[in-house]
Amino acid sequence: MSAKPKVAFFEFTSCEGCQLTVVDSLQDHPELLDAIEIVNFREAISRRDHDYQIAFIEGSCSRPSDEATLKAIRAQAGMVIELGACAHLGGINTIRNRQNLDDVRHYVYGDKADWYETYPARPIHAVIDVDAAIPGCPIDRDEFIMAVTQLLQGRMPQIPDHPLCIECKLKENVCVYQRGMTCLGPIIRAGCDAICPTYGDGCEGCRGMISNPNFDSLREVLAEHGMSEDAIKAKLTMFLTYQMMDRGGIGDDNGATNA
Amino acid sequence: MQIEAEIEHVPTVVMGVHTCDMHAIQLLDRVHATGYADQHYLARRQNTVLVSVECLRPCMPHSFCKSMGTLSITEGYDIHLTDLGTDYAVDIDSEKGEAIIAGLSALWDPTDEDYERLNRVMAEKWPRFAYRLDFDVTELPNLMGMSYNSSYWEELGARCLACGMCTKVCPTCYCFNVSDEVDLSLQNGKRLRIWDSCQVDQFAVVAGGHNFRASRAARQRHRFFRKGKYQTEAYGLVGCVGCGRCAAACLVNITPVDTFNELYRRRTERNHAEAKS
Repeated sequence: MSAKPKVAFFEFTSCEGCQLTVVDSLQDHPELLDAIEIVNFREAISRRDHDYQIAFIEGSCSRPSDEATLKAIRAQAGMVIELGACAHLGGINTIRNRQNLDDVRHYVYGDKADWYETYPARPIHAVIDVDAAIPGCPIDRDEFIMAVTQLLQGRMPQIPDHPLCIECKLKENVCVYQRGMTCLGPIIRAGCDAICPTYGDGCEGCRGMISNPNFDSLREVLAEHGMSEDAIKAKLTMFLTYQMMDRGGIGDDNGATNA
Repeated sequence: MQIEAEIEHVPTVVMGVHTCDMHAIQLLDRVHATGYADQHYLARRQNTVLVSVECLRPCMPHSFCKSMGTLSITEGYDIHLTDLGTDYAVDIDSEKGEAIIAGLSALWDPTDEDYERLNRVMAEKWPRFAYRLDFDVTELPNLMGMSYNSSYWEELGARCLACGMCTKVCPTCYCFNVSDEVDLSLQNGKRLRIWDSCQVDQFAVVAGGHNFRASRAARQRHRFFRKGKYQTEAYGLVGCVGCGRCAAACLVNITPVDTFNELYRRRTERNHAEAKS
């Protein structure tokens, strides 16, 4: 690309923390602004331009009326990239997918429940085609810069598809299991520099599962390390509810679906 | 445009190398000097001084160095230390080692009594270590060769998490990947070598998306064949040095001792059955 590509950021159901990480990445990489032209980014600028080539989308799609907006973005952008766990996995918003949606809506909105439309939360690629995803809650700022660089080269962002344990061992961390805790690292995608284990906590899975996780074996490991069936379910449905339900459920028997 | 390899070799001393790791380094030295010699490894290696220690007690429950013949070392170090209680016995196997100890006033020529102390320490250490393989290590390559189609690999594959931790703590695992990174100006970049793992799903993916070791069973088999057969055949040294680190790291208790012994047990059973029929 000869001219600077025009880039827009959009947000759906999310905390916009991933976009704040983009702002944050400018501290280390101010030259990002020499490489791209940001035309739409409400976290940082007041410009609202709808002529762009690359769209980064943060957040999950959690109501039917968002679909038209997403389709308009898809129609405009040559490249659509999911930004962060909510867009990429459905994220923590999908925890509600396991429950009765009417109950959830009344619990949250009380007697105003009827004012709000909602449906099971879903990742962006469940609504429109996307070209790539930058995982994480929030995204990793270095990975974001690397992804943009690869897009500028005309390559797709290269996101790791190996488990976190690889990265964690390269950091020379003591395995959190050996410290009496549990971790989803063996089935979760690396790329975060093993930030949670490095700071003493187990992985919660915000980057999503690797392509071929040995899920049953990990469940046994979690049980052997003292987790109850309910605790295992809770751990596997913090960030991974949508993926878990897509795999055929997590043992709930209440008829709830992602659809 | 000019592209040059950056060869980093900061002078380094590695202190306290266990004898199993000395055996591992000897293997790595052969691997990296054979065929396309690895200039990065060799430059760094030449700038490294190895100070090894004679292991006098098992360092962890999973170690099985005695079975693998790696419980002692007679060459390859620069300086080798054996703890005699109040003093160290010092053995030198290189000019680098000689240069370091030259003129050290704390050293003296060993007396007959010193040799007796050393012999006593060496004699006393052996019974502290257990043989943990049910067969002699020289049989291992053949055993592996006869176990390629064993049903045991599928059993390992069902348990294995493919997390790769076993290879990341292994002193003889060196497989790597190469990646290119450029900066946002697209003018400058780096070619990087990253330690890889044959246990992860994508390791054996080639152009066209084909994966010639797609199953965890095939990958575990490959790993144990590297350790038990391929390395020995290619480089004349055993590929597993019995350190036990992979066994300690594995969350699903896949260990070399259990694996090799189970293959041996199944092979022996089969031999008996064949002899009867």
